[in-house]
Amino acid sequence: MTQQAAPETVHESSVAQSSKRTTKWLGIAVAVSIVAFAYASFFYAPEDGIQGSVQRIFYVHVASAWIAALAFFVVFVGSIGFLVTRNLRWDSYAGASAEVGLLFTSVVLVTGMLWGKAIWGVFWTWEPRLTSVLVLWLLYLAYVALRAYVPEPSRKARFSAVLGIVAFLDVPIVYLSVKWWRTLHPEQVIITEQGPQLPGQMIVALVVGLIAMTLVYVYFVRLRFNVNALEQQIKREVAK
Amino acid sequence: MTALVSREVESGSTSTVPSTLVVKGLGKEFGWTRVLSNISLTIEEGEYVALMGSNGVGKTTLLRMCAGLSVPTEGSVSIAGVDLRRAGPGLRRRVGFVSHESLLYPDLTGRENLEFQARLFGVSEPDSAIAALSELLDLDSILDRPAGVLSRGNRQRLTLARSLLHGPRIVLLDEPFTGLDEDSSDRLLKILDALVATGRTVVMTTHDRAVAEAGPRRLIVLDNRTVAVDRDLPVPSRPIAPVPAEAPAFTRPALTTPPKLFRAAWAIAAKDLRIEFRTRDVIGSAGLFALAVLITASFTMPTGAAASAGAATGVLWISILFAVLLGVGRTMARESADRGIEGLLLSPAPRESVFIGKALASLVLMAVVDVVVIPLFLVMMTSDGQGSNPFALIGTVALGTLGLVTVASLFSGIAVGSRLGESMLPILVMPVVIPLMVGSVELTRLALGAGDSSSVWQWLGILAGFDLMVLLAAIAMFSYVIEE
Amino acid sequence: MSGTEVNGPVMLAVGYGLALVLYGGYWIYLKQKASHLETTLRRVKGSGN
Repeated sequence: MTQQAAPETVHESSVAQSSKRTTKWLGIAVAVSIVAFAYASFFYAPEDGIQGSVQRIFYVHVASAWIAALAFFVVFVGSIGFLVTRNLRWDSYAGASAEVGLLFTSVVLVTGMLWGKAIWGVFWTWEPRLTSVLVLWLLYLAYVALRAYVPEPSRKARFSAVLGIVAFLDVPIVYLSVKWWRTLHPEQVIITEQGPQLPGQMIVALVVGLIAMTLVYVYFVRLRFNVNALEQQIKREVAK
Repeated sequence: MTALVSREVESGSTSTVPSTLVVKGLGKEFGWTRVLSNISLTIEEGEYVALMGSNGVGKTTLLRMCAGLSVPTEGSVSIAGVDLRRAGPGLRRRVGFVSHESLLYPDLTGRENLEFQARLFGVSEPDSAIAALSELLDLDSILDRPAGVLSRGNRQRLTLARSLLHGPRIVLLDEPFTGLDEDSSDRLLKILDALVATGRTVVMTTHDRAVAEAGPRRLIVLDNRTVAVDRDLPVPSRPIAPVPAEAPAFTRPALTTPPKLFRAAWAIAAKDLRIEFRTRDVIGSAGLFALAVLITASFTMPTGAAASAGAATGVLWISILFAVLLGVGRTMARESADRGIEGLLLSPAPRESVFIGKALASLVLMAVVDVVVIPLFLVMMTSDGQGSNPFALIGTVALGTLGLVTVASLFSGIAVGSRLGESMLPILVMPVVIPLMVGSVELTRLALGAGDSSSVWQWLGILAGFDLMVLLAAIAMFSYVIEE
Repeated sequence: MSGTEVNGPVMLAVGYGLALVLYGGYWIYLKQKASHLETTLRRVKGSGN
């Protein structure tokens, strides 16, 4: 009685990598955009009159923050996608996006803290945005930790999806609560916000930064996704 | 015994359809380990089947999929023409499953376990059904002792009773003869004979050839992840016990519609509360923990009204949070002990009712902890009671505890399924409940007379919004958590 | 010596530097992991089942 080839299974969907050529071109685009971004933020954008050169950190800080939020949304979409389709590819994207999102959030925190040290004199302040980012970072961490401690793939996907959805729905509530919390107990330091009246060149630098960071995000998620796929391929071979 | 004549009321058109078990192209993987592949078989109502195979070949996995406890990776299992993945309450009642784990709650007596089962399955005269089963299986001496102290053989009989209580048409048994002495084995064989004689399907797994040939009329052998042998067996040489003149108790207990969402949830909550009343596990650990946190923290607080008011409410809510984490974690862990959760999954109770029931029980227990902790907090932490609004305080504590219990209940299902077990719970819960903590602390301070009262409605909104969001999310998604 | 003018450029450099280290480090980590996994995959496939 001959053994038939294993039919397409749930886990088979986690095995295929994304196209290598596209990834290579993406990598090149990333490199180009990063160079453009460096030029834009260090040379093209004018220096801020009040804060001096340290204000330039704003570009990588804000661009990364946008991506951190986007990454979380992708985790949300991936979570719903998995629960609806039961196709593990959705979960693989969610997991990759969460790891990359954790990275971006860490950069936001670090650059925020350094910026804060320069202009407020303190590394940390419970200012609404920074605090919200800290909570976001914790949520990412919980998600990544959960995935690390649930080895079985379909169970990991189910559990992560539930957490991903709850955490995402939680974010607006977190932001509101932190904002009101800090409004009631204002910090001694006054935050100089970068409002919508940015000079045009600064806006350009910010947009270049956004494009660059988005490309970095997509590239990293792709790489991470492929690493996942490789791991699944190895597991499949070993199990045969 | 006239009470046992069936007054079966079953919704849907499946009530007279024969309970044919059809397995089509079934496959199961755990991760990349393929356990079963391309299994197809049909078992008609009334068949007596032995499922054999070496250890680890997948007999238990196959049986669990036939019971609806495990979801196939490919293929399907259907009973009476309905795919088990879409099984309604009526279909679940057709199946009885006896597994390795007893699915009993060790702190409840045998009778209480059976009564709980009866409630979930909609057995309308539980006392008669239990009495009849007790007579059949000789349970009298063990019914009123806690299930946890019973010997293996006794627990087995009780487990059998539990799965037969609702009069299933298909009885699935996983290695039921393991660990039984000769007398018990004989008795079990007679019971299985009688079940088959009254038209029930019996499928049992075993790795003992002698057992397989002692009664079953059909032999299915699994090998190399699929069906290797499927043949009829000759009539066994040992004498078959004659069917008793009166219909045995388990054939047709009187059934009513199984309880729907809230009644099922209430049954589950009542069960948890009864266990807690007896053991005082949760209230003890959670309550003492909260007290310890409060008292210890008060030694670390600066003295003086203004300083302590702010920090003290924070400490209060930390102690409530940890009490919830401990308590809810324990409540959910109880279902893992003897796989009691599977008993719930096998029942017709909707999955959402499992969440609502367990959350409700946890909420009641946490309310008791709150009642102890809050007065202590008030006495130890606050210097004056001026401006306090007791109703606002109670309301805040209620809303905050509700949110915490909801999140913890949802995530405890996830935590116990992870490698860290209950220890995973704080990691998952704490980031998510930050807005709840912030809001609860603010509202508590306001209730105690401190702070700007114009923000009350904002914070109330946050708390209510959070509670609503997590409640809806939990009810919608809990079934994904306990799926398998 | 806590004037913003002194700290500013330092914090800017450290900030972008750390961002570079974090992003770059992650990129290197992923690349290394991928090539290591590819080697493992070839080895596992090659040893034929």
